[in-house]
Amino acid sequence: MTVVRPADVAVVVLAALLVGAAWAALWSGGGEGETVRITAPGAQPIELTLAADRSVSVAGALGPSVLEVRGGRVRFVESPCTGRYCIHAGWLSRGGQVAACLPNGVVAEVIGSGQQFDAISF
Amino acid sequence: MPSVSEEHDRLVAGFAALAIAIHILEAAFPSPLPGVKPGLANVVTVVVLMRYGWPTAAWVAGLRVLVGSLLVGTFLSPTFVMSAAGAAAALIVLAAARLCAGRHLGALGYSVAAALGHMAAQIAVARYVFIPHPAILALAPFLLTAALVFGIVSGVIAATVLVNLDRPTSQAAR
Amino acid sequence: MIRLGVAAVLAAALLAGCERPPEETKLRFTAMGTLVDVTIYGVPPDRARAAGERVESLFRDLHRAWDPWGDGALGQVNRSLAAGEPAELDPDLRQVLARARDLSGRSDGLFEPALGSLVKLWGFSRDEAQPDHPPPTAAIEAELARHAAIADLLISGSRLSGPPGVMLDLGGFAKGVAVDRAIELLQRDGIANAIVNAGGDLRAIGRRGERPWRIGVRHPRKPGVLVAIEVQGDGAIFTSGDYERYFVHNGTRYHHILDPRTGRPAQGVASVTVAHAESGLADAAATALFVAGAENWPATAAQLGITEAMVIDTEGNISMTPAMQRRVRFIEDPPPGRIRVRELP
Repeated sequence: MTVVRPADVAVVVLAALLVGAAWAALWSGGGEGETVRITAPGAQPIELTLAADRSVSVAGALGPSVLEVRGGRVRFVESPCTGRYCIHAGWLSRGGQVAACLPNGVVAEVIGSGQQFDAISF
Repeated sequence: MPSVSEEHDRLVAGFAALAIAIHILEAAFPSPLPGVKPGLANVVTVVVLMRYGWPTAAWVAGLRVLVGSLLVGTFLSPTFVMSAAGAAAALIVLAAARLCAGRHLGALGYSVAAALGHMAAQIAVARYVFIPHPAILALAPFLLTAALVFGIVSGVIAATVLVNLDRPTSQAAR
Repeated sequence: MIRLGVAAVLAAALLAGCERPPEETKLRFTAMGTLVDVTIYGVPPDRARAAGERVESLFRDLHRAWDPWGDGALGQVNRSLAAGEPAELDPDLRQVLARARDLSGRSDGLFEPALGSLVKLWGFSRDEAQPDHPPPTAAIEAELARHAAIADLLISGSRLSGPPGVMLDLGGFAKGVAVDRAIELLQRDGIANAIVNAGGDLRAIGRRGERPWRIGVRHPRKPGVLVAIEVQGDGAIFTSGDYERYFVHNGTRYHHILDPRTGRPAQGVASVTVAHAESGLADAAATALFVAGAENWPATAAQLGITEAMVIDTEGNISMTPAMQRRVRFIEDPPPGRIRVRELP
C-alpha cells in the first residue's frame, strides 16, 4: 500500500477548499476596514485598499472630489460642493462607514470584515 | 485462530492505551479555546479503522475519550463534551468516508477528513453551547487551518505506522 | 448504492454551504439630501430594480413637494404664509400637516415642524454651505420671538392660515413619511421583504429569507455598531444624532436639532433611537425625545405612544425603556457605558 493515494489527494483538496471558504466567510461584513469603494456618476466603482497610502481624484457632477487614503483610513480632502459635509465627515476606517459628496454624486464606502448587518441606523 | 484473536485484542488494547496517552499529552498543551485540541489521537483512530474496521475504531475512540477524561480529571466537564463531540464527529465522517470511498482512501484521506470533522464539531459546540458569542466563529478559519495541517501530519504518521505494522506480521507469517 | 447515497448527501451538504445566487437586490440613490438604500429580498433582480426606481421617483417627488424653500407645494405654502395670506393645501399635504400638528401637540411642542426660520438662521438648511459659527444671540432671540408654532395655524377645509412668522419645515417628519410611503409602494408591488433606509432612518418589512433583518445602531461617538436589533414583520428604527449635521466652534458642538424653547441646539443628548411600526411617528418621536433631554424623555415617549426607545447622553450613559432592552443586543460584552432602564410613566 502506498502512503498517498489519489483519493487522499482529493480529500485534501476538498478540505483545503472548505478551509478557504471559512476564510472568505470571515472577510465579508463590517468591521475592520480593508478597502474603500468609491462611486461616481457615470463611472465604474473603484476599490482601493486602505493598506496603501495614496490620493485619488474622482470626477463628479460638479467637478473633481479628492480623497486621501492614509494609515488605514480614508477621507474626502477636497470637493466642489458648498456644504462640505463630505469633508466634515472626517476619517473613515470601519466597514460600513460612508462619506458622500451628494451634490457631486461621489460616495466613499469602507468595505470590511466582521459582523454583517443588513442596514445601519444612525 | 486463538493466537490471532489474542494478538488482535492485545493490539487493540495497546492502541487504546496509546490513544489515551496522546489524549493526556494533548491535555497538557495550551489551546486558543478551552477544550479545543489538535486531535493527534486521531492517528490511532485511523490506524485502527484501516486495520480493524469502523466498529473497533469507534470502541477505541470512545475508550480514549472516556478513560482519558477520567485520568485527566475532566470527566463530564466542558472539555469532555468538546472531546466527545470531536471524536463523535470524526467517527461519523470516517464512517461516511469509508462507505463512499473505502476502497480508494488511504490513511491521509481518512485523517484529514476526521481532523476537519473533529475541529468543526468542536467549534460548533464552543459557539452554540458554551460561548454564545459570534467572535468564536472568527477563530474558525485559524482553527480549521490548524486542523487541516494536523490532519495531514497525522495522516502521514498513520500511513507510515500502517506500513510498518504490516511488515513484522508478514515476516512472522514466513 | 448506499455509497452513492451517502456521497450525494455529503455533496449536497457541501453545496448548501456554498454561495447561492444572490436573492437580495440593493440599490442606492440620493434624495431628500441624504443617501437612500433600498434592499429587496426574494424577488428577481430586474423586478426589484424596477421597484427600486419607483421608490427613487417617489422620494424625488416628495422632496420637491415638501422642500420648505422650493417651488413645490410646501414652498408655496410657506411663501403665502410669509406674505400673510392663507394657503391652499392639496389633500396630501393637508393630511401630512394635520398629522404633524397632532404629533407636535402630543409632544408638548418639543417636536416643532414650524421651526424653519430658525433652522435657516443657523445655516442647517440643506443647500447652504456648512456653517462654522453660531448666529448672534440677538438674531436667535429675535427669531424666537417672531416665530410662531404649528399649533398657531388654523386648518379649515383645505385652507391653511396663521400668523406671520410660521415657516413650515417638516425636517423631523418628512423623511419618516417618505419611508412609510416607499414601503407601501413596495408592498403594492407585491414585495414583502425589504428595507428602505433613508440616511440611517429605516423601516424593514418581512424577513431576510431564513432569518430576521439584522439592523445595527451606530454608536454616537465611536466607530462601529453599538447594538443590534432584529426586525421581522414590520418595524421602523429611527435615530437622531448630534453628529449628523454639526459644527464645532470654540470647542462647543452645535448640531442641527434645535430646541424650540431656546432656539438653540438641544443640550445633553448625543443620540436617540426609536423603534415603532410607523416611520413618521418614529421620526417625530426621535426628534422630540432628543429635545426632551436625557432626564425627561420618558414622559415624552409615553405621550407619543412610544414604548421602545434608547437615549445616549453626551457623557456616554445609555438609558432605554424595558421593551427596548428586550429588543437590543449589545455588540460589546460588557456594553460600553452605564445602562439605565427607564420605566415609562
